[in-house]
Amino acid sequence: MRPEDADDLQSLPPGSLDLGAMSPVIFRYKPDWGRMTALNTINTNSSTKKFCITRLALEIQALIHHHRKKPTMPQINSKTVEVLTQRTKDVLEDWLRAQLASATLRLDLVSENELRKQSHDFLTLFATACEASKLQDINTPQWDEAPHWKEVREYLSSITFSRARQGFSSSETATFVLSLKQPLFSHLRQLMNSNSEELIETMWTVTVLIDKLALLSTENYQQGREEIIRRQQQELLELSTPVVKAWDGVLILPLIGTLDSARTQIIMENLLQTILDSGSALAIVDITGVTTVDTLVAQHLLKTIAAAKLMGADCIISGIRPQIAQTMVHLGVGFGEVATKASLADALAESFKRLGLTVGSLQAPA
Amino acid sequence: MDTIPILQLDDFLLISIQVEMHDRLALQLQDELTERVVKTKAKGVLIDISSVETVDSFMGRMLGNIALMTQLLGAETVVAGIRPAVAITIVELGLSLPNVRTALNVNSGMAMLRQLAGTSVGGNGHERQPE
Repeated sequence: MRPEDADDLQSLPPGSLDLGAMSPVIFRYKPDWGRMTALNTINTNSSTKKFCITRLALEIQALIHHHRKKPTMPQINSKTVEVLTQRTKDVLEDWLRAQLASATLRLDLVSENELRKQSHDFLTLFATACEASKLQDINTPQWDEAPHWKEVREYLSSITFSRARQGFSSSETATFVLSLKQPLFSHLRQLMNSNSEELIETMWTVTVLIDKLALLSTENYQQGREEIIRRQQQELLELSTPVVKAWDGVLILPLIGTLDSARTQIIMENLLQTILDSGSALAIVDITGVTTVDTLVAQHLLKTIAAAKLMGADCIISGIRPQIAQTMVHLGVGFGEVATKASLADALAESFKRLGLTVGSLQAPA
Repeated sequence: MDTIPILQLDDFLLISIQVEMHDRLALQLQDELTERVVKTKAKGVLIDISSVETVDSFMGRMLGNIALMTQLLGAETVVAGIRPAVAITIVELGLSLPNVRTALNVNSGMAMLRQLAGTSVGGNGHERQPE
C-alpha cells in the first residue's frame, strides 16, 4: 500500500457513508471494491445493492480506523525514556512519597532508608532497560529473555523474596511496583500535555509494562512463601525423627505425629544408619505419639521394620494404646510377626531379656 | 573374568561379594557354592555384601535362591552387612527374603551361624567371637 493511500483515507471523515466522496480512493486502492461500488449504478435488485453498500461501508470504516495516523512507537518510548532519565530525581521523590503515603507501607519491616535505596536502584535499572530496549519488545515473547529486562526482573525478584521472608503480604509487595505508575503518569502528562492521543498510547504501554512487573512480583512472592513452607517442612521432618540409644545394642525410635511416605523414608534412613553406626541388634519402635494407625501407617511401619531386619536388627513395637489396639483390630490391621508391647518399659525389659541382661536392685530386699 | 572366591572356615563357607553381580557370575556362584556345600559338608554359608552399593530385583532373588538351595543341602545361610540404602531398595522392591537370615556384620553373622549349627567354638554359645 502506498503512503498517499493512507493519507487519502485519513482525509475522509470517520464513519462517513458517502460513497460518492469515497469512490476515488476506493477505485485507486481496491479495484474489486470499485466493482462493488459500480453495483450502485447498474440495475440490480435493491436488497443485493443494499447489502453490498453496507458491506463496503464497514470495510472502509475498518480501513480508515486502521490507517488513522497513530503516534509511532519510538515517539512514545522516547518520551517515557525522557521522563525516566531526565526527571529521575523527581520521579523517585514522587514515587517515594506515594509509597510512604500508601496504606500498605510497612515501616516496621523496612526502614525508609532501605526503601529509598531499593526504589533508587530499581528505578535506575528500569530507566536503563527502557532506554536500551526502546520499549519495543514488551508485548513480544522475547521480553522474557531480553538481557536488559533480565536485570530489572532479577532485582525485583530479590526485593520480593526478601519481603516475602520479612512477612509482607502479597499486595504490600506488589504495591512497590504498582505505586510507580502514578508518578510516571503525572510526569508523562506534564510532558505531553498537548497531545492527548499520544499520552494515552504512552500510558497504555507503561501500564502494560508495570502490570507485567507487578504480576512477576506477585508470582515471585508466592514462590518465596512456598520456599519458606518447604524449608520448614524439611526442618520439621528432621527434627521429629530422633533415634535414641537406650542401651548398648538397643535403639529407641520414638515416633510422633502422622506417618506418611515421605516421613517414613526419612525415619527409615535415620534408623538404618544409626543401626549401622552403633552396631545395634535391637530397635524399639515406640508409637505412643502416633495419633492414628491405619492400614497405610501399619504398612509404613512394617516396611521400616523389614529393612531393619535385613540389616540384622530385630524390632519391637511399643506404645500401642488401648484405643489404637481396638481400632487396629476393627480395621483388620496387624503387625504380623513383629513383637509388640504395650509400653516402652515392657519393650525395654524384653530387649534386656533377649540380650541376656538382668536388672536388679542394689539393695537386697530386707 | 571375575570369580567370587568361596572360603572355608571350620564348618562354614564364607563368600564376600565385592564385584558387580551379573547373570553369569550369579549362576557360576550358585553352581560352585552348591558343589562346595556338598563336598565340605558345610553347616552354614555366610554371604557378606557390605561392599555392594546397589541391588536390583535379580540380585535380591539370587540371594533368596541361594538360601533355599543351601537349606535343601542342609546348611543355613546368613547374609551379613546389608547397607541401609540396599535394605531400603530391597523393601521397596517388595522382596521380603523370608528364608534369608541377616546379620549386621560378618562377626555377628558367624556367631549366628555357630549358634544355629549348635556348635560353640571356644566360647559359651553366646554371640561373642572367641577370645
